[in-house]
Amino acid sequence: MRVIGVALAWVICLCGSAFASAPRDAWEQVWRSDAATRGLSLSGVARTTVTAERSSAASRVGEERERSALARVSVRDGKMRLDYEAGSRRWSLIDDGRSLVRLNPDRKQALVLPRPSLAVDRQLAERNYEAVAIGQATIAGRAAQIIEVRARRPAPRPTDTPARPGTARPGVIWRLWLDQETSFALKRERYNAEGKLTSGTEYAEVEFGARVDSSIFAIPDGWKVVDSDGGGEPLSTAEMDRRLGFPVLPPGYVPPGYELTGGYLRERGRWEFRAAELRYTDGLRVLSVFQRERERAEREGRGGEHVRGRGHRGERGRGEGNDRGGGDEDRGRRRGHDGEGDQGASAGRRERGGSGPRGAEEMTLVDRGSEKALHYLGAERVVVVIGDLPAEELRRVARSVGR
Amino acid sequence: MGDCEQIRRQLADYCVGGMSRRRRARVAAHLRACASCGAELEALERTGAVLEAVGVEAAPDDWERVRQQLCARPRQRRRPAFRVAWGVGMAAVGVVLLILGGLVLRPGDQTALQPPAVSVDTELRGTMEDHLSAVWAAPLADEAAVGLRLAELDEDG
Repeated sequence: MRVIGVALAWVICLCGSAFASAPRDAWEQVWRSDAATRGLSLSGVARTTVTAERSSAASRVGEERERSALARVSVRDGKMRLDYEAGSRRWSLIDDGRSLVRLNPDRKQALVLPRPSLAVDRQLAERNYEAVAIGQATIAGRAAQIIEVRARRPAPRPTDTPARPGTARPGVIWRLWLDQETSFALKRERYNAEGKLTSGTEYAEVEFGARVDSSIFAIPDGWKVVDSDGGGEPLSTAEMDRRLGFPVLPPGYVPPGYELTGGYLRERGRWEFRAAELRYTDGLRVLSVFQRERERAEREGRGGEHVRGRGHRGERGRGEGNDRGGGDEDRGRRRGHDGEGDQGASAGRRERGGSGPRGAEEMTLVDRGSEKALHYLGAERVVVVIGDLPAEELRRVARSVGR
Repeated sequence: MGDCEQIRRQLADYCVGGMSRRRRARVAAHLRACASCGAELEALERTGAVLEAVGVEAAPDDWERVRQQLCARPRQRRRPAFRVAWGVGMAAVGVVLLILGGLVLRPGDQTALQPPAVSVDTELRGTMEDHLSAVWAAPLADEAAVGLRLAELDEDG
């Protein structure tokens, strides 16, 4: 009996440790992969594909479109360069650790974006997600382990969106094929909050330890440098208030699991507007809340024309009242698009709603695959909320700013 | 963009009613569709209103002296083309004076010089660009895919 008892206890300990270490091993691989991305020296070729939803006048539900490009990847000393080819288009992207630089060879122009340095909060990520090894595969001729990263709190399926065929199980955010030798991600699949595949990148060839010339990470001589003037270093709320000239208000509601990482100021730059950004993270995903005061032209009833933008003829929509609170997305969809054909990725569903006077509140939603953007025109303030969240959550965050 | 540039050159004339009915209708149609040019017009009108409120007038002595000088000169025939150029030149000078007046007379009032309101499209793309920069730097980021999305921002629209 004693022998049986000891044997049983030993078996239980073994099983327990196996269960305990599996998730720990998977997370360790995930973090090694994250570090490997910049820690290695490599050269490779990958195909990347992104999907987004594009709304048009012709359909009530957004049409899906897919974009694909070949990317030659070079990594050295924590810097990365990607040279893209998509049909006849060529462009490059350089991450030198301080900035993201987009090179347009046709115009000999280099657009510089500040590159934030987001500290990796592993505890926060592991609180909100679990990592599970689900199998093995061969990618680019190399053995890889497949790891799934899943949200512990999957977002509920939006009530206004019917289930689409091929939708993956909600909760899966990443599938990673990690090289068993270096932990480098040879293939990635990104799923959005609704469980839909929104982007994927797979290496066709990769060489670790490749000789990479450091000069490729510099802007070529003689190119025009354009500063995008956004992001930058995080600022205190008081500093943002002072520089913007109006108080920056935090949202009253932030989805569970998200924590504030900092505030940033967007100066005029190439987009010609100023706004404050409050940035949140749940360890892996980013939620951005932008805000600015409505300008006089917008407040004095020229808002209808102002928000028209490209391809919009929202004026028709404004004449048909829907003053019930909460908005009606279907009605907005039918009403908001009067343009012809495809209006560009920024055309989105327009909604009217809210409890204020007619015209006081208006929302535009754009779905760019893993990131949705909601433009909220409130009575005093314009708020833009961007993140991988269901539309209802974005609306809730936008309406809660300052409340 | 070319249309907006042309329209903005004509806003001074439009302000003072110095154009044909047909041209005026064309400008008005553009202003109805373009918030940016509409805001430019509004800024010009506000500056004009500021000057009217202040009531800038020349000294009466100066006018009398100028009148006498003009009366003393023999009248000269001017070609119609010269008259048109003269009119355009005076309109341009008038616009410059209006703008300078707004700057000098009411230095504290910056509303007349506020840049035009930004469109929803522009605002969404600008904020998305900042957001994607942060996504790029987040753990597990698929840089190749994020880079492709960044390029879309310039392409779309």
